[in-house]
Amino acid sequence: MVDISAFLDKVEKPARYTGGEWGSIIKDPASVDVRFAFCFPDTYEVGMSHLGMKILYGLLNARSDTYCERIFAPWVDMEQLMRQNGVPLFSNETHSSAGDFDILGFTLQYEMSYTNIVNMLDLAGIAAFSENREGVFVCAGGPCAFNPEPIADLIDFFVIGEGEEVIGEVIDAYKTWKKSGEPRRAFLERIARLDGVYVPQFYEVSYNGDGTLASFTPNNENAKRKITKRIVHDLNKAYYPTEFIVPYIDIVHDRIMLELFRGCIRGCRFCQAGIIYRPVRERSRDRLLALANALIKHTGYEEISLTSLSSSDYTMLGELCGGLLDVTEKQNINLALPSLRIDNFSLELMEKIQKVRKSGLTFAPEAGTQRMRDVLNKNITEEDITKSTRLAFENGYSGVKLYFMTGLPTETDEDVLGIASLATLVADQYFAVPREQRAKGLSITVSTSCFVPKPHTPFQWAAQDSVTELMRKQKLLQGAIRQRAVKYNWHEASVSYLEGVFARGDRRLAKVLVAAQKSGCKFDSWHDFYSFERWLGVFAECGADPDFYTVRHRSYDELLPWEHIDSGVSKQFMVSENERAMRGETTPNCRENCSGCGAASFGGGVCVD
Amino acid sequence: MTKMRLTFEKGEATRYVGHLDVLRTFIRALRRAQIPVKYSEGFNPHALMTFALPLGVGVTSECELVDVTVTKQLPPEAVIERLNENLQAGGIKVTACEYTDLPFGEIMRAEYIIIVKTAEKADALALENALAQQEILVDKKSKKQTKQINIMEHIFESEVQDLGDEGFTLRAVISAGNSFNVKPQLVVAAIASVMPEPEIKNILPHRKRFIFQD
Repeated sequence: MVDISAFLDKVEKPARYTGGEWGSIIKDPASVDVRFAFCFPDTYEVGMSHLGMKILYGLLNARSDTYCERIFAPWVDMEQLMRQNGVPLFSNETHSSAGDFDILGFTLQYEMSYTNIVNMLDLAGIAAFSENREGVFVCAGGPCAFNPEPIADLIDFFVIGEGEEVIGEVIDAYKTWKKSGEPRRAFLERIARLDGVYVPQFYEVSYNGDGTLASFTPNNENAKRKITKRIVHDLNKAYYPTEFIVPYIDIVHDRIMLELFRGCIRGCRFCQAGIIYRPVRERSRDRLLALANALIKHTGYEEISLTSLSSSDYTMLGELCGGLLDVTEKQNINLALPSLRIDNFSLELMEKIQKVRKSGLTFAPEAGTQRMRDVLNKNITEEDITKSTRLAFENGYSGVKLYFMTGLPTETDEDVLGIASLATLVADQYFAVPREQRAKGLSITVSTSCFVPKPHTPFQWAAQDSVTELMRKQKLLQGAIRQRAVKYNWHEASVSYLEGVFARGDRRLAKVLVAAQKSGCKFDSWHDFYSFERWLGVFAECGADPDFYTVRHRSYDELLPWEHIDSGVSKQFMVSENERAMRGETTPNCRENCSGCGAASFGGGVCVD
Repeated sequence: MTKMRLTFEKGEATRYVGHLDVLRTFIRALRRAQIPVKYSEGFNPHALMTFALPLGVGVTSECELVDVTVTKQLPPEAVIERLNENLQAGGIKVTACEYTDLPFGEIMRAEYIIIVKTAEKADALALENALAQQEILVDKKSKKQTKQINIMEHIFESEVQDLGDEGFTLRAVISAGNSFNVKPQLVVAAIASVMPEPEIKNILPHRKRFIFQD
């Protein structure tokens, strides 16, 4: 156990580190066979908002042979005190040193958290590179594990796909191995045979003269050639926690999260989640109502939020909300419905459920012109947007947030300027509503992020825009937005560029991450410490060319670093989608017409319904 | 509709939980315990509850008071039991419950037991001397401004209870209340300002009782 009591009155938000929240699990570490630490490479407030952690924490602690604790990245003030006093990274529950656990499991939610993983290992006194590591095993999972290669040298094993399916098998294998007294490698060989587990050290990589991948082959008989993701086949039977940890301090998403379904029928071509969570699988209305009741009772939360990639696509949304309202209205519980498509139905629904101020509505057209949206397969038309915003303004809304991307494949200046035109068009809808009927104070916020091509998407071969080009487009758009009611925000282009490096990176980047941590890079997704210049220095020092991973166009023939990871969606489908994108052709959603992406092989969800 | 007055402890596990977070913890615990709390009307209904005096981050207590308006009177023992079943052990714990129509008395002072951890053993005479000062000026910070006050005017009783190699325990009765409140940490800071040695490593105050206006 580490002692941090002397630091607590010297740091921001000390309750980040003290644990003891309602719903946190207390066990005697000596009474279990396996000690697991769920590690979130960001602050407590961010990590505690993550649904995946709640699921795995509950699932693992339901086992009497396992104790799962939580570890977060300490904020820099705490880190400094820890380093000055030789205190290692510790868990929230028992304040045990990270090195005392059997397995550390990192979740990979965004690439810009990779330096925090390196920093956390360093703080724990655990070797950064897997080959030098003894004792504790370090594993990782989550969406970014679908291209595990940039951190492959740092991680002992990855879990690909939905972790709740695999983690129990890993724990069982660990127990057997621990009893056997076999060497470290034997455990990795055991789990390498499990479906969905990837052990990077059992693969040999070679490169061509131009830096592209030449071969990727198993060097251990237990290693599979392809690692196919695991999925939960029936969400109604799958574990879902009915007890959440309720933090003392405010966190980012401080409410009950009710997961309606996994996957998305839409097939937007830039969206990685839309591919890797295929096929779409829904929870039944009855199951959701039962879960909601249990969670309300256990947590005492005053808000419940329906979560999914696109809530409007839940088949029984009206019925579900009706059932939830019966429960929530009586108990002063607020029902939140993010990710809704705005139409008559949803506005009516929102009218019913949200008795709060009509402040803002959010739309994500993603692109400014119809041509560009067709390339993305973002099946929203200009008419959808004008109709729904008109409807919203007629119903007393006066604020609209519009989200777009720039730097998209085939994007021209005309597409960029189309964003400004669309914002104007939305403003026109407001002014078309008679003055006495509309709410005062029109406010339109246009936000653009920078497109980052992601692995396992039809755009995985695309060249990413350079930082200069992205900034030029941001300036261009800024100049075109002249209305007072329209506010323009844009995302820092260099951060997206770095994200692009690690999104589609290969094994050679692990040394860059380790060097970056040494030079002080951490919390890169926070503005506070991020420095692009420092990053460029690190790349130069390591002899790595970030442009190779970003602005370079890849051919279909190139062996991609993540090709051994199988999302269930075929390369053939991805190629065909990319080709259709280039021709500006859209593809119908999964419920309209099956496009034969390959996910039907899992035999579940929308593919068999 | 009646007012339920709860006395509660804020234990070690919640030492660093601030006042607003204590409030939120209470609201959720009351919901879990299914205590029929009265909510305000309007767009943003909130639970009707009032704390006697906020307790700062870093301070534990055994004498906190909160009034909760309820729509139905449950037996006090049941309220205590149900609430404590719905609060994590070691943190907040309800110790008494009564129904009342009276507002809180006006808090004038509070007694604290303050554990002060030091780098080495403090000198007993130097401590005595510090506590016997007529005037020690300290900066009292509030959200709006920083004011210089003579803290000795706000210390009504003080004694060193325990003096060991790793620190000392101080019992002090100081000004408290909604109109003028002195943080116990400030008392220790004042002592440190006239007694530079030994270095203070940690201050762990505990609120023992409120002293109300007669």
